[in-house]
Formats: sequence, C-alpha cells, structure tokens
Amino acid sequence: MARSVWKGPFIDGYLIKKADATRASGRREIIKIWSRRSTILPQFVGLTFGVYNGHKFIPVFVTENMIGHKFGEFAPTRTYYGHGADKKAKR
Amino acid sequence: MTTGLLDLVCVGVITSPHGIQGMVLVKSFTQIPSDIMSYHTLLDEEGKKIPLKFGRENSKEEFLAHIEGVNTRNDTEQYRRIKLYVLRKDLPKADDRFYYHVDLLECQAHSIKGLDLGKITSVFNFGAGDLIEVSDGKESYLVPFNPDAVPVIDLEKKIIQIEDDFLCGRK
Repeated sequence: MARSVWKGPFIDGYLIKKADATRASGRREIIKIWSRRSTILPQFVGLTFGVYNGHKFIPVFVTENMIGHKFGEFAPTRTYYGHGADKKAKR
Repeated sequence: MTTGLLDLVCVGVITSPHGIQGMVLVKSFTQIPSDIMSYHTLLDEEGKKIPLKFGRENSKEEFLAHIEGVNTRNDTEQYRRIKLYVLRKDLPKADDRFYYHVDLLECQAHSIKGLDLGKITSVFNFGAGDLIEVSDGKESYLVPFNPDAVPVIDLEKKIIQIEDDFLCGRK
C-alpha cells in the first residue's frame, strides 16, 4: 500500500541539516549519508550525496528527475560489472 | 593476423549453438543491443575473423546468427563461449562530452593537488550519472564523471585529474 499523502514524504532529519550546512558553506563536497530510505526533496537538487550501499559510498548527483525517489534506488547493493563494449560515459 | 588485446573491444559472445543447421546464439554487450549487427568485422580473441550473418532477435540482447561455412550443430559446438571483438578504430567517433568506457579504463588519475590516486578500473551508471572507479590496488574511490569532479581528461596521455572534494567511497 502506498504511503498516505497527509504524512508527507519520509526523510531522516539529519539529512536536511547536512544538506543545508553544505549549501551554506558553498563547497561542492560529497555529503556522506547512510539513509537509503529517505525521499529526495527539491532542495537537494544540485547537491552530490554519497549513499552508503553497505560497502562503499556511491556518489549520487541529484537532478530534478530524481525528486520523489529514494536515495537507495541509485546505490545498488549488488553490483553487476558488465562489459564496456561500445558504451559511452557522458561528462 | 594477431592483434594486441588493447586494440580489441569485446562486443558480444557466442553463447550456444541453436538448432541443427549451424545457427548460433549471440549475446550482445553493446549499448544498443542490435548495434552488434552493424559491425562488419567481428574477431575472436586472437584477431581471427568470424564470419557471422545475423538473423532475427531471439530474446532481449540475444540474436540468432549463422557462421558462414558451418552447417551442422557439431561444427558450431567449437564456437561456444567465443567472445566477439571489434577493433577499437572501428568504433564510431564519440561526440563531444562522450567518452568510450574502453578509452577511460587504465587512465592514470591524479588529484588536483598532485597526488597519485591510481588507475580507472571501472565505469558505472546506477541511474544518477556516470561514475568512475579509481583504484590503486589498496584503496578505491568512486568519482562522479562530470566537469566539476573531473576537470581534466587527456586521453592521449591517458591522464585524468580529479577534484579532491569528490573522492568518495574510501574504504
């Protein structure tokens, strides 16, 4: 069953504090977080979070399309390396 | 003809024979699976040409193909698990801001302060942009692949520079 709308999105409180502190400092550092269950909020757009996957921190650069999703969705806990083949990375 | 392994890019693998008339199943590793059919010359690990004629798509990322001159199932058995390669120079030119994974791998990474961080070992994309993994054998870092984090890329010298603030994933 989906979460009731009246509750609003779930987010761990410490995450908002960390994001605000980083934004205020003006630095572009990676914010290390362990809260994979937290919802991505609009005020996180443009920040880079390091989401813990149980092994290491996966950098997640937040864009508008990611709002409403959970952080854990972008940091898989089981990695399939796959093949490079003709795949390209966009900078 | 023998080709150095570095010049070869693996684009697929012959997984198994299919049917009794010399057909095989080919699994594609390319970004768009059907692109494997557009490469005219597919080679094996030693650089020997494998003359494949592609047929229909069998399942997602898998295609049926016929090896020219091979007409029985017994003959196709020897091709099982043979990886298919193309020459790096046969890949189309990448657009601006796009880099082939094979070009980035093995690049030496330095921090802006000049520290040697190791080599690029993998390139990932988990849905939040491309990431490069830099490892010196002991420690590994994941770095977002964007101009802020990776301001300098020199593919000819195989060198990249990484902004110190973006080193993440230190074990």
